[in-house]
Amino acid sequence: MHSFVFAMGMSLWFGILTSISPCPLATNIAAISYIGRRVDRAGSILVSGFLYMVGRMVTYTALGAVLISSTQLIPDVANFLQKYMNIALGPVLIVIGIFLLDILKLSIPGSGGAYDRMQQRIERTGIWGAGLLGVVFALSFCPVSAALFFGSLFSLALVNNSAFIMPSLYGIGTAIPVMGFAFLLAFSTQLVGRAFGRISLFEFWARRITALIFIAAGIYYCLQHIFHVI
Amino acid sequence: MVVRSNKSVKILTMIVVVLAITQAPGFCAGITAKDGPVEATALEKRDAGQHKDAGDRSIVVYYFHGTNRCYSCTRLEKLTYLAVAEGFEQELADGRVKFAALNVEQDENKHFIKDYKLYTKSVIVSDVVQGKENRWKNLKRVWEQLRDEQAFKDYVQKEVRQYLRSE
Repeated sequence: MHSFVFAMGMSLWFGILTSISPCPLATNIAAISYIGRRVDRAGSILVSGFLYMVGRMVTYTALGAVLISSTQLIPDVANFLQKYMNIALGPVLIVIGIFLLDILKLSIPGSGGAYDRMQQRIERTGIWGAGLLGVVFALSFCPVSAALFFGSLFSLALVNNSAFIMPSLYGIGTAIPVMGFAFLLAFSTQLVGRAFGRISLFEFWARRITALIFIAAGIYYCLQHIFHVI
Repeated sequence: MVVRSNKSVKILTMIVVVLAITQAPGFCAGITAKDGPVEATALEKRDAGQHKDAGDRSIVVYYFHGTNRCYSCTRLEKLTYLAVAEGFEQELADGRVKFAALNVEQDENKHFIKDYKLYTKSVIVSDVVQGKENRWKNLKRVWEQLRDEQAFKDYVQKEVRQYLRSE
């Protein structure tokens, strides 16, 4: 019993260790800015943070459930996700950033307003987008997260026959530092905004900074994983 | 395509600034390390085949990496090499212990992914007897020890020593 509780604690720690490693830094900054961007709505920030955590948790649990029953698939799945998710992530982040940056209006002749419809759809996605972001970022494995998830966590989960609980705890661990920073940043910005009576102005800039961070992170991923220049 | 914003130049300038900051030395390092990133190309040259012939048996410590070299990956390589070099100076000289850093994305090394079931950058200890691999072990805990240089070296040296001692 004690060893199982200890293993649960280790699973959580492996998640935290993943999150505070240098390699997921770009996606973590993007997630922090996305969760905390609605500085005018405290409830929205809390729900976004929670959904981001659930997105990560569900992804790792699903992967754990599939791969623990067929461990011979681990190298193929791990190498596929590390290679192709990171290649796809750059352009995806840039596109989301452009849509979030609604001061830059694009009229594409012949598109029949497709751009506007897409932008409205992203806006409507709202807090649910945080959950989706959690899923996408969880699947974008880097060397550290792959080592800790497919190596350290799986060793623990296999020994303890835990296909669900330990991967879930790992997912929670990966989200805790991001949520903590997002809440801290958003609520301190809210306090300062309220103190100066400029909360709507702060919200305006928080949204645009989020968009720019997404575009910058997307360019970084493109340069690293598509063009191999950094 | 028509762009209806006079702020686009400012936005692009900000993107360049953000990128410049994120690419500044030490940014990606985030958590401080006593030693900077290793000169990977220098270590890559330390191929197993460059060592003296050890006769019947040798322990090969492999570090497998890809073409993209992240901060943690180069630190992992450096600490692995230091653990071997500091712990087994005599054995390295006479060829009983060897170190090799290999890129598994190169065609000639791709087979190692299947051979050792690699799922990330990894350290593998291999026991080779008369040219044939007798046994091997993936040192999975290296990633957990990456922040603690001494604990990392102790772990790698302990595993290599166990292989050296056992027949």
